[in-house]
Amino acid sequence: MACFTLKAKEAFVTNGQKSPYLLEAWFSFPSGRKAIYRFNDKQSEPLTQVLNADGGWETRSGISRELKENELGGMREAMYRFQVDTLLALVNDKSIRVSYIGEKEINKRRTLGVKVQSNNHLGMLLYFDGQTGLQVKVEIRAADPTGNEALLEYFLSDHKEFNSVRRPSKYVVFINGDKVEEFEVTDMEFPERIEEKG
Amino acid sequence: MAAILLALVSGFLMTEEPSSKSSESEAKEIIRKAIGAYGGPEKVKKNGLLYPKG
Repeated sequence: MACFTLKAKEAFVTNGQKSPYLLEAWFSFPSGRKAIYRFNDKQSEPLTQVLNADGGWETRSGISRELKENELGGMREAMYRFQVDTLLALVNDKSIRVSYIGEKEINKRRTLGVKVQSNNHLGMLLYFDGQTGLQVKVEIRAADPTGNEALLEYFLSDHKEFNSVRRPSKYVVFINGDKVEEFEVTDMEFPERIEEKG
Repeated sequence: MAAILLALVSGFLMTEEPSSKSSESEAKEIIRKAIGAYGGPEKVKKNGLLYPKG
């Protein structure tokens, strides 16, 4: 089983206002994830979310609740996105279909687009820098609960080495053109396995 | 806050991308170049990149 851990400084953005927090997360593919969100405001207690093969739960201020099906679906989709980000799956896993979709200029750089499709998952468009080859953007088109189309865009930048593995360290997330989240990975490790914790 | 965003994202429904001219081999060449840019397959494997089945 492959896994990694990360620490990040993140912020949700609402009407231009940032709500910073620190994230510490453990990922154990394909379905294990634990995340602790520590918010910067002094009123908020840390939020812990756990996802496993059987379901998921979250706890805050000593109050726990099971996650709803739509919340679990979102978290599992996020796990799939992390796996797609790992790239080797795209050339090794026959259940994932890829196709070239042409060039696109992103932040004044020429990029090459790849469409990724897999049954029961959202389609994704990945863009790679035409010169360096590094991944710079992810696009996901989906429909919100009211049926309106929504465009999620993830911009990846500032690639750095974490324990000899090169990864993007900065992510900025937009929904329909509005910045909703940005985060900076400060540490990343790749243990052989992750011990069960709390 | 995290729960809010997760709820928003989790509310999305799957939609089919419009079809485009498929070029699997070109796509895989781009991906292999990216894997090389990230340090090569062996280092990329450390990143949980094998899409393990469980």
